[in-house]
Amino acid sequence: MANREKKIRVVIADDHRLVRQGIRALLERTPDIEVVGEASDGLEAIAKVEELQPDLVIMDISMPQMDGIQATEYISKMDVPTRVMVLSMYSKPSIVQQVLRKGAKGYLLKNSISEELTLAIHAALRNEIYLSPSISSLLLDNILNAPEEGGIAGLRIA
Amino acid sequence: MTITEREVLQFIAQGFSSNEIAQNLKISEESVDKYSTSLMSKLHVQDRLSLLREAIKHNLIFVD
Repeated sequence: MANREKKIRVVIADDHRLVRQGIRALLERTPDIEVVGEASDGLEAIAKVEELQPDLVIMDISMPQMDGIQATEYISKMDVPTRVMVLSMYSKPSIVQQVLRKGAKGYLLKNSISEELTLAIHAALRNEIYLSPSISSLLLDNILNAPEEGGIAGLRIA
Repeated sequence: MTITEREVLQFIAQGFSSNEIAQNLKISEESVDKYSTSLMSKLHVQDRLSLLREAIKHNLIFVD
């Protein structure tokens, strides 16, 4: 029962204090989410993960010192239960694919409605990957437009 | 309300101009004005001061 009352502990990583505050204001309306820390760049995000071991980091891509892609890769290799969810204005497929390959458990665009952020956080905590619908479409387009590789490995038609 | 609109709202609450918000968020000033107009429409107000009042009333911004 105690588990049900446990809040989801979140760290917000974004280089703008006011952006972090905006996200914090949004998350503080959700009773089961608690913002336990903030980071202004990738290095600070890693330090906060080491120190606080949050359930989730909301990670911006473009940050000084170390960007969100590098920080995501580092955190994903750490021996911590922390998941990374990217929140960005960038919808370029190469960036999305790169950060998902580095271990991000979701990619949410900032033009999403605010409520989607809490949906994405809950999905990440269920070990699911949450993508903004336009990101899913972009990735699907990429897959469908990629050249075929000669069928499914291991299958032979008699 | 979108996440970007909330970010713009947080900057407006701190007294930033459209130009300053645009520079900080790396978006155009036109986009900032579009977000401000959308925010005012969603909160049924006509100016930034009333927008701020509604934002505080509905707990939409973080205050230090």
